[in-house]
Amino acid sequence: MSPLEDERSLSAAHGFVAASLPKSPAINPPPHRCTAPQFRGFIALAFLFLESLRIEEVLAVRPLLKMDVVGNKKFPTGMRVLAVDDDRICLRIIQKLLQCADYDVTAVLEPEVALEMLRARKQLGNQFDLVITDVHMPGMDGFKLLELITMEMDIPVIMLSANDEPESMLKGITHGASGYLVKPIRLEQVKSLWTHVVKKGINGGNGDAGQKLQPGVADGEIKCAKKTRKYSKKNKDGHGAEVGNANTSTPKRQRIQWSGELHSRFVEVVNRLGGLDRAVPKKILKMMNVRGLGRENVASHLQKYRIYLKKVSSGTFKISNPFANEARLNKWSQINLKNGPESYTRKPEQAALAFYDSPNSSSNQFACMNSTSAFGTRSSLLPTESVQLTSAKRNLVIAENDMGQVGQGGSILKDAAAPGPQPSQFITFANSHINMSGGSKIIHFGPSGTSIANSPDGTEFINTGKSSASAGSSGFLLGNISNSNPPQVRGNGLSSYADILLEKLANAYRGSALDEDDLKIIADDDVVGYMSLVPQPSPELASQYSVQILPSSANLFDKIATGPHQFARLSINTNNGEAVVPPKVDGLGHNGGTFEGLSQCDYITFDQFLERLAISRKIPNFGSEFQNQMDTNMSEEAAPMAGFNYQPMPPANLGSNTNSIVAPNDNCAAGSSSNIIYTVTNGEGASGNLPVNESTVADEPNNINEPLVAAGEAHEMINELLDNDFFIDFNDDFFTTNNAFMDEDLKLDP
Amino acid sequence: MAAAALREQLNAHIASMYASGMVDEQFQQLQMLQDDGSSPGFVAEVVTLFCDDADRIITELSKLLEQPTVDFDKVDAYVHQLKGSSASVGAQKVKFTCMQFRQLCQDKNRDG
Repeated sequence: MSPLEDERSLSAAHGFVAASLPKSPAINPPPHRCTAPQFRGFIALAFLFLESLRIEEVLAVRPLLKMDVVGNKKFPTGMRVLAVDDDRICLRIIQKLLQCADYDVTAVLEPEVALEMLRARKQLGNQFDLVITDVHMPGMDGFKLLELITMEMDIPVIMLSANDEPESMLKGITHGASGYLVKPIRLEQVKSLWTHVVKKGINGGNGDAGQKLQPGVADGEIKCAKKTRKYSKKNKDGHGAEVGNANTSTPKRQRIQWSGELHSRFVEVVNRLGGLDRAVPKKILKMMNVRGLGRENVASHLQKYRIYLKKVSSGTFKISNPFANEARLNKWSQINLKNGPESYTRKPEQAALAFYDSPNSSSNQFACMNSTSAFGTRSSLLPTESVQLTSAKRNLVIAENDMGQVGQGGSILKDAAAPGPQPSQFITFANSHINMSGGSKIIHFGPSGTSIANSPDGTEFINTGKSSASAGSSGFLLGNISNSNPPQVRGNGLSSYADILLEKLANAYRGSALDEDDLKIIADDDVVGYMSLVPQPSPELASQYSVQILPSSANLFDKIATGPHQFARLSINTNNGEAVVPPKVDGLGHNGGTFEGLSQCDYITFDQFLERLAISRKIPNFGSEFQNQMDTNMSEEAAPMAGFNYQPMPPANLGSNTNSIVAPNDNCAAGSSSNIIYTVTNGEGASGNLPVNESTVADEPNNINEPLVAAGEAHEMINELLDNDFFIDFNDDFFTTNNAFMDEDLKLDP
Repeated sequence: MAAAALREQLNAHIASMYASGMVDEQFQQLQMLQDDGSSPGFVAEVVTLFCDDADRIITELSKLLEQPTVDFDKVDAYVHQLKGSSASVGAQKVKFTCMQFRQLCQDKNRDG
């Protein structure tokens, strides 16, 4: 591989730098390159910065760079070309021609295979530079392939055909081809193909700019969440988009309700297109392929999405719930955060916290519910929104641990995994284990201090709860509280189960935490911190899910939950006493919910997680069994990383990670029981099964009061601690205006 | 010697192909590609492939044409394919024949 390609394959900043170091200084170095080893730290930072840029843009210039970089060979030598033709003779010939032109050729007979390869390479970052494809192919038409490639990967595509009619040529160009060649092809034609690549690289970055910004227009009225309406999750057609009764004329846009599924689709498409920067409403619309969805809908949705991501990336967002009494399922999860502690305290059911993971290309929004909001919980795991933060990787993860305490320990994990100095903010709620690297800020709420943050530098650890210690080991997993501010322990007397756990974990991992490589892997996978979902510490809360559902809210929750929304309700045991508990850790048997455990030491990226989430549309449930489980079987030595592992489809496969603890499903009477189960993976060793303790779950629906108290504290803390700019803006933009999250009224059906 | 004589024969044959219009300049391209040094058997390989594929297509075509009602679209598709191959290989005559063939298909002229 050429040095440039080698470079590209290096994901770590160091690697990148290292690769760049030997290069000739004549190279016009990108900002992150540095010639002096001692600036690696800087480089790491720069790398972070770089990541915030569109890497494709940077790399798009690589052919030019190649000229300098590649030894004595000049560009376009080694340009990677993918040739697709069903006629093997033509394929052979074109392959030969390309080889003679010193390109790096891959020849494929079937367009489907070609598409697979393109997609796969995209993941690897080793994408082709150019695609040459025949027009007439059985299976997928050449034009179709062309469209897909230009939309998804944005690499130049050359059409090839024996057909020399102008109509065919025109069709090719209008479908986005960079060129059209008529068979038989001559070598001279082949030799000039590289110009298309360069041309694309130069224009590619700017190409979409004009289309990108759409005026954020309200598509319709959205009743403010403040109004106490029931959130109704209407079941839409297959795509989840409901076309309102508005006509389709331009002036009045159709009301589109961005269901979780629709949004997740949207997000997926956006990511496929290369991220927010590259996604254009038209393309998104096309790729989403949703009947009844208009371009304006997509455009405004995209706009909101962008704003949202920006807010998320710019800081923690307020855990406040603008929708006081409403559970809003919306793509941004369930951000039932509204500024104002009062709202928080008063409405514990709010406050969904969202996880946001934002790698460049894809980010996951992982909403974890704050205990206070049953709703939050429920919604948080909704549609996996991939939130792509344009900023450098920042994962905002709000994990709410199951402490049933309202406001317990929220962890906002910001970008844990990257090896680089990505800002991480973790707001962990009770018993969250955060794995972070780089500067992180852990705001830990809740009694359980099991926030384990690995943030060697600049970690601010704010523990508002009783924090037991993350053993400030230098291990990755185990939080380094040493660097952070001493936790403000505000214990509220909850049992220190979490504390115990934390201690054990700390002990277990002290000195033997994941080593750098592991972390790197995790980081590379964009795995944001893991949250350990620790069951509620107190037995009496067993019946409650981590998302504390206060009695008052519980009802609401129930109502909400019973609606046909797609997210499984958190099992609110309080009301219906149903215990849905995955009986065992392994294999995750659980009722109704689909839950998948982590496969052996598999950490999925948040993207994946959210995708799965979206697909399965499950929300995590924490059940009492957690507690039971934890009490008994949990092997605390297990890896402190509790990850959420979601796989898209049921059946839950807890995978090999024996430490997974699956939150019980909620089979609330309401019925929709797609529950997301959090797997608490405790790394190795957790042999504990989660004993489904249905009885406990079923019982005691009325312990909610207790957490309330704690919640109150947490609320205040949260509000104080968190920077609420996000939601301030949100309030302005989203909550009060019609388009906050949905283009239509959200109503929860009781 | 035998090799030289064989080569002579080959060249003569090729020349005649050019002359008769069997083969066009594309064939030269192929030869040039071969001469580039990287693949000595390139031309042979391609030509063999072509012959195989063409044979297959022609068989299909005759089957199609023998049917009471000829599906011209399918025929057209095959012919298009054959045309592409022949053009790539440099089989000029075949290519021209294909073009005529396609024209007839457009006209739904079976007898032609």
